[in-house]
Amino acid sequence: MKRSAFLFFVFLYLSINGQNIGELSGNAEFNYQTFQEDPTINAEYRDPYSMGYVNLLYKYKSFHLGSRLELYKNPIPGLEYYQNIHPDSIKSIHKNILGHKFIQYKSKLIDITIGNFYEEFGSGLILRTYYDANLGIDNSMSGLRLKTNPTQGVYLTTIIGKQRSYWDTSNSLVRGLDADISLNDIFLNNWATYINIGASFVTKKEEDNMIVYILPENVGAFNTRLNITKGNVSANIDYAYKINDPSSDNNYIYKNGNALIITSNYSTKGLGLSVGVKRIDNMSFRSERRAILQDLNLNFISPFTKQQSYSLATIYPYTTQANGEMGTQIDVFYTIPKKTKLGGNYGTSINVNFSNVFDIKRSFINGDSVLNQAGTLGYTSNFLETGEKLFQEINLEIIKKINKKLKIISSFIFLENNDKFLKSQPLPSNKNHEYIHAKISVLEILYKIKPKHSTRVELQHLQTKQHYGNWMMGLVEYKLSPNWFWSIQDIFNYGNPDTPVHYYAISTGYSRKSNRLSITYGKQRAGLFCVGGVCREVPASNGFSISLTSSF
Amino acid sequence: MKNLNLQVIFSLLCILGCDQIEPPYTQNLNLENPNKVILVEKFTGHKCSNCPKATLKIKELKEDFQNAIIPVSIHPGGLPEFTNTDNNYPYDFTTNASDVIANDMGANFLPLGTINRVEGDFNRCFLKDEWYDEIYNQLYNSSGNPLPKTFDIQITTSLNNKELSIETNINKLISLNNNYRLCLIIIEDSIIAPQIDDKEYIANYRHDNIYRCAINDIYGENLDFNNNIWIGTHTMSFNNNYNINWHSEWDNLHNCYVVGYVYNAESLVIEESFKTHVVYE
Repeated sequence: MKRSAFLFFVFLYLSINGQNIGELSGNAEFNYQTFQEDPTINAEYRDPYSMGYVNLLYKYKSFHLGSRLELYKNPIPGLEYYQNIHPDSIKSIHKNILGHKFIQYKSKLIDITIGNFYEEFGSGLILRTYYDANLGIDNSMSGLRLKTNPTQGVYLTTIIGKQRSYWDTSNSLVRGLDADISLNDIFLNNWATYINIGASFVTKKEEDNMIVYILPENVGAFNTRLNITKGNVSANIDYAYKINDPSSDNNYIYKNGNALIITSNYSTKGLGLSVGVKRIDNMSFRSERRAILQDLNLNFISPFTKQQSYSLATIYPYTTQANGEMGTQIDVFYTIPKKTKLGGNYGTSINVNFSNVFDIKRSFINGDSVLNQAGTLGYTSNFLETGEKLFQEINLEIIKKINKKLKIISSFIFLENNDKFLKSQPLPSNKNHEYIHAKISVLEILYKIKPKHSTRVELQHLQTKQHYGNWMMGLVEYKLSPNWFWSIQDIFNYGNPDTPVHYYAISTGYSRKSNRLSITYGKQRAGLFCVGGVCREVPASNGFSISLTSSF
Repeated sequence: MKNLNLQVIFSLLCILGCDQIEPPYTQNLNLENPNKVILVEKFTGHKCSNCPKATLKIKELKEDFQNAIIPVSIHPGGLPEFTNTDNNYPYDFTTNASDVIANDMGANFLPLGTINRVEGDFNRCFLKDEWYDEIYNQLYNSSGNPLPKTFDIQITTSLNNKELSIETNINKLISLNNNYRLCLIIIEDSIIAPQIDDKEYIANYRHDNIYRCAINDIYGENLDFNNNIWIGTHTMSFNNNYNINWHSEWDNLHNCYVVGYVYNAESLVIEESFKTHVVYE
């Protein structure tokens, strides 16, 4: 901690005197939440949780120095299990730590980082490290990264290091190489078609520390990518392959893993079309084979479902199944031109999104009577055959600006969530996990009352015969630009099979330049909290939450 | 160009370093003649869809280690999403003691298990795939030779109606300086009650090795040895003061067992365990 404080004050000193010796920039966030007991929503009392961090980046000529000081008190709600993972857990939940620190030299030819860094190879199928304070994830690498540009159009990245695991690092060594090549920069200079290819290789070295299984100490994964763009059309193929990687995730089977993602986009004025298919088979890839839940993920499988933001649309999210899934997504954006019957004076935007995800079909291996038996190859899988349907969603969104003051956004969502398989939802009493069908309607109205004064109203309804039944939601927000906002909302689970439940909340916030303070008091339902397809379970809560963000 | 060469060499080293394992994937271990008996506490719940997989794991362990392990299934009331009762799951497997033990051992989610309560990945708990290794480590040394027994436990029971008398004889086999405690519990087999198993609701699932009650308190009593020998007697009754399911019509004594284990009072690690029938036939 003394060392952290020293570095912090060195940065401050350099900032004060920084006119001639570089630039200092940074950002900070602080979150505080209280929890009171509330039997109506099964919320328990718990000690207040607080988390904060300060990122500082100092730049002097080609050198960059970065650090993040992190402060924690009590675990993030839903991550309490961590208290029991490490022997020093009691101390660990009250911690101030310089969790991220690096020194980087960056020139036109070479970019070297020593310390902590985040890296993504391609779309992340075999390597993606990132930080998300709200999800409680920081799987950064601690080690060395070298980026070079040996010739025009060729970009190489080499990494070696250990992955961050809370206050420590994982017990494996991760090494990787990524190459991105733009063929047009090398020899297809005059082509109107742009072709980029990429390839990556990542390996983790972890000691075989189990007695019963013969484990691979070096597990490698390979990824290759192709992107072709011509005019308004582009196509991407992303394929990954991983050798035997028995782990807690796959029940210690020895099957190789693979993943294929194909996407294609077309765009022209007023119209955008995106189509994608993917197949994932045994592609959970962590730096420790014993890691579970959110811990030590090396790769990231992009979600193929729409990332929802409306409250009721986030109740039944889909969580990527790294052990196996097959899915498709079609996304269409169309703007009905201005000055037409349907377009009106400002045009009308329509977005249709369809996505579905199936389990992969698994079959017995000759001689086995159990699928996924530990210490075997586990199963075989026909590449094109689908298993059980896991999720399906049809979204229709219409955005219509009526006049200079009024704008309306309406959404209709039809979803199927196979919670019988996914088991990600909290269970009401007397119920089992079930296949959920839901219809969600959203109406959002934005109205400018007068200059600087605006209001936003949200009305939502979720209809389902399963799980907690029907929900409705109303929100009114008043904004006094550019500084203030106030809002009040109620999410009402009127179809709850036990007792109807209200989840009300009031919020206010103040923003000035790049600083923002918001305070909320209210109830939060239990369920999954997701960011970019990565989810964590949150318990029901009732209390205050305060959030402060700032950048400089 | 020098950087490029270095990176190519580095990647080749990585590729060459991959270990593709060929079958068989498991070690051929010598599991003969173990001296000790290991207590395996499995934390489970009737609404825990992955827990039957842990039960299967226990069956596999039993096949390999046979009587060298004593499994106990504990349903922690502190995880109500997995263990509470409702119309679909009316049978209450929880007890106050099971909740205390699960909490103290660090069973914050299910399924997890302790192996002689040694330090684990999750406080004193391990994921099911790690049980085999930990049991082996408790039974054999690094050369594969059986570890010596430190205590010999003998328990005899006599049943009169539903009143049980237990006599416990413990013999300390080697010189040990620490304090040790004895804990006696009752476990019950063949309870037919609902259980979720993956996606399937099984109305008549057979629950075995269920923790029912502690006889001499949750964490037992101190052992004061006299010439390395300790003898003690206890009594208990199969009525609903000991477990709410032992009402007057309950009749499953033939599937009940007394389990006794001796553990180090400081490290809490179990040294030796013993299991015997309540009813001898």
